[in-house]
Amino acid sequence: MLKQLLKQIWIQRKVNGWILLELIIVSVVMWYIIMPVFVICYNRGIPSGFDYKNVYQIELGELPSESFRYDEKEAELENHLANFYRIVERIKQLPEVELVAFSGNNSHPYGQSFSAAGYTKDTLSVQLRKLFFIPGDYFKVFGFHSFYGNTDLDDIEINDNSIFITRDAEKLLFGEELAIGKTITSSGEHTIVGVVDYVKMAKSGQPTPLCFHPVRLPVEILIFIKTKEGTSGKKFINYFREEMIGKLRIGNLYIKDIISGAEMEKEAEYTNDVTNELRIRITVALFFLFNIILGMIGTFWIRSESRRAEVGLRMAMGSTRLQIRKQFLLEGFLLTTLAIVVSCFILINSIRINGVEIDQATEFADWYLVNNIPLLFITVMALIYSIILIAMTIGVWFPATAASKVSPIEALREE
Amino acid sequence: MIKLYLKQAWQLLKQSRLFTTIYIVGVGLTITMVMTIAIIGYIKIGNIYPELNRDRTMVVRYLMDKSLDNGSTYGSGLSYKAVNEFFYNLETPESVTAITYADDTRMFVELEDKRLIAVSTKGTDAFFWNVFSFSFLDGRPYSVEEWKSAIRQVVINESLSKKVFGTVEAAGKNIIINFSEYKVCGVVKDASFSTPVSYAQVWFPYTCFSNYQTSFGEVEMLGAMEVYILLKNKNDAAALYDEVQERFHRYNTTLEDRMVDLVGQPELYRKNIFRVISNIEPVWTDLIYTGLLFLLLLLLVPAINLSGMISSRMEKRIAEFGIRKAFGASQKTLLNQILWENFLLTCLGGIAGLCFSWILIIAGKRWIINLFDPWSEAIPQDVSMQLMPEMLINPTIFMLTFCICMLLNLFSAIFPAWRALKRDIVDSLYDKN
Repeated sequence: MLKQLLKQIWIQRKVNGWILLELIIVSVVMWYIIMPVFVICYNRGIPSGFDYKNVYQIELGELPSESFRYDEKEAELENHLANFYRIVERIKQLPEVELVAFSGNNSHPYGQSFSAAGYTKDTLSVQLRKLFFIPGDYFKVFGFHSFYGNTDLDDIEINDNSIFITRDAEKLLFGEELAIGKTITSSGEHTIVGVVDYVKMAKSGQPTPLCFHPVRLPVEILIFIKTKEGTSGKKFINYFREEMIGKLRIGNLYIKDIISGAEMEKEAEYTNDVTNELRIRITVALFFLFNIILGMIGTFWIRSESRRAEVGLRMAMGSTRLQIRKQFLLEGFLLTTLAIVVSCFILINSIRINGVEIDQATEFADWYLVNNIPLLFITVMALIYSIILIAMTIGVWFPATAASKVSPIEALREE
Repeated sequence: MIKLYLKQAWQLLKQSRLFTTIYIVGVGLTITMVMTIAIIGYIKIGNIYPELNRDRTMVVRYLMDKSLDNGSTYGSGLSYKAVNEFFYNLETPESVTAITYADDTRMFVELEDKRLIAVSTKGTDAFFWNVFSFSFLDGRPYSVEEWKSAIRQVVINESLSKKVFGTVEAAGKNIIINFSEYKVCGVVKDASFSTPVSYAQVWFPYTCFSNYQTSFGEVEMLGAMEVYILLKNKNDAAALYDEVQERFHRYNTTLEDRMVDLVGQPELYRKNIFRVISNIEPVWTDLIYTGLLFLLLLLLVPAINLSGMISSRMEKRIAEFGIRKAFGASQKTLLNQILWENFLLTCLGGIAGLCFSWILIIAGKRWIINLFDPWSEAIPQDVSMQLMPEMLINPTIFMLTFCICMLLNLFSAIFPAWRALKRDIVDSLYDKN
């Protein structure tokens, strides 16, 4: 059977050559298009380590000094702080609000910028991203949880030199030892008081090693609130925008903006170029697949016309319509497999010479599939193989059906 | 002759419906892909209201302040001092404007019922209105004297005027922006967010911002301004480049251990948008190669498809070509005929594809226009990304579609046709199909 099929493909090489060439080019190109999409989707499946459900970020503004409402006395630090607390109190009083937390400027997940520093234990130095917080309900609002057991991170007693680190930071610094109670240095000594579970700072990235520093006012901070379970997010944000933004003003401070966790995520994916990249890559991939379908329809249709005699003969010899259809599909299947084998050969050589560049991956976290290149290659090629097979089946199905409907008598007479 | 070919092609086209359909869909899809990208490109660099002179606008958006001692660098936009000393008094150009994003990015306009709406704003000078061609529906722009003396006046756009005052005739009325009072001096026709350099809902004379002279860096050249230079004519680009570079060169010789670097600017608007990182000049050869490779792939895969289809059709017509040849038709005549026949099909696909890419762009305007921007942002909710007809329907776009069709046709038809025609006459005549 296989031998016969291969023979058929060889005999029809003039027409098959075109579609084979196309299949090879497309499967090679598909690797470069699909691989990053696969990595992004895989990363998105990794738990984020925090929870932005019902969480909103509130931004405060300060009146410009040229405003007719500007009050110089209120600009003094003492009054300024008092006004700040009064505004926070007003927000807390909203019936929907459950908790309020303060995060240092630009140090929350999905934030637009970040700071990092080297932390050393003995002689080992590791780069950690820094998050700043004002002790209170910070860990509860963001949903960061402890790696060891059900400890409530907000209840742990801390002083100015305490820090929390994430599990990957612990692994990097201490291996399999427990980090709690130990000290690390980075412009001063810090005692680790808690280990936080893995945290992803970007939706499509992988967990980043972090450390959490407590700070005190006055520093530049952002206000985060968590609304009560069951609050309608849309209603709340609309109400807030209508009634609070620009209207709640104490001294020179006013509420300038509110963003929901979902909006922050969307915004961050845009600025990290993930949204556009996914859109472009998926469109191009679909374009190539559609071309394969068209090519298959074209080739096999023309073939089914010129092979009417053969089909007629086969049916006269006792082939059923199903067998005829099966034969066409098997031919397509063989062509696809041949193309994938050839393209794997091309790709492996190209990867050997040029290497692979994977954005959104951290090198040390080798426990993620996408960080292991041979495994990634096999998975993605298997994915491409099955996608192209599906496209092929769609493309071959119609001509195969048409061919199997040929009346054997007519076909033979024509001959 | 061509008329005859086309007539014959039309008949053939009607005969094999399936072939025609698959062929047109294949071509249409390709043209949709390529033309969508091309239209996005046109919207980014074509001359579009209110940026009608993009082809003779030059840009300086970034300066680097370098230390010659230890190599440390600072980079940012330009300070007022830099703009004033080096750009406002240039001799080559027609006009020079500086735009600033300083002050507050999100400002509020107070409506009559005390509600606040967020608006996007820009601080400009009076020359802004020469460099960009806004049409005024009411009032006038702020004059050079008014700008210099920081008179609190603003220009607003049509839709904001309707929202705040209920009319476009708002010149002379007062408006409260960020809790401060301003007078509206003019109302302009709405522009699209797809012309981001000039887009705003409110334009201020930047002299009204208390911090407009703020600068940083050791030599006070860095700040938050961007400079747009309108040339008298396109060919002045090199002269302007030299004039600006010369000024900075002379200035740098007065500094002891520092230099101010223009990182390859001023450059033409259409070149500037390709800067991914502001302080690095793009490597043009790399960019062009990647672009061509991408275009080639987009055309090559469908072309292989079409080639396959054409070549099997050629098989069927071998006998016909044999007879034609036997009666004295030359290779060239026949090749010409095949190419023309195919060109008809390709053009039909091209028209379908162009229409489809228009639909695509109109339907997806809120995200498609920024698809290829580096570090792009989601468009603010309250901003309209309106498209104007001239962005989609213009001679450049038509010419481009036509060229791509020609290219695709040539790619796909020439090889199978040549192979079919190469056959021996006797062979062709004998062929029983």
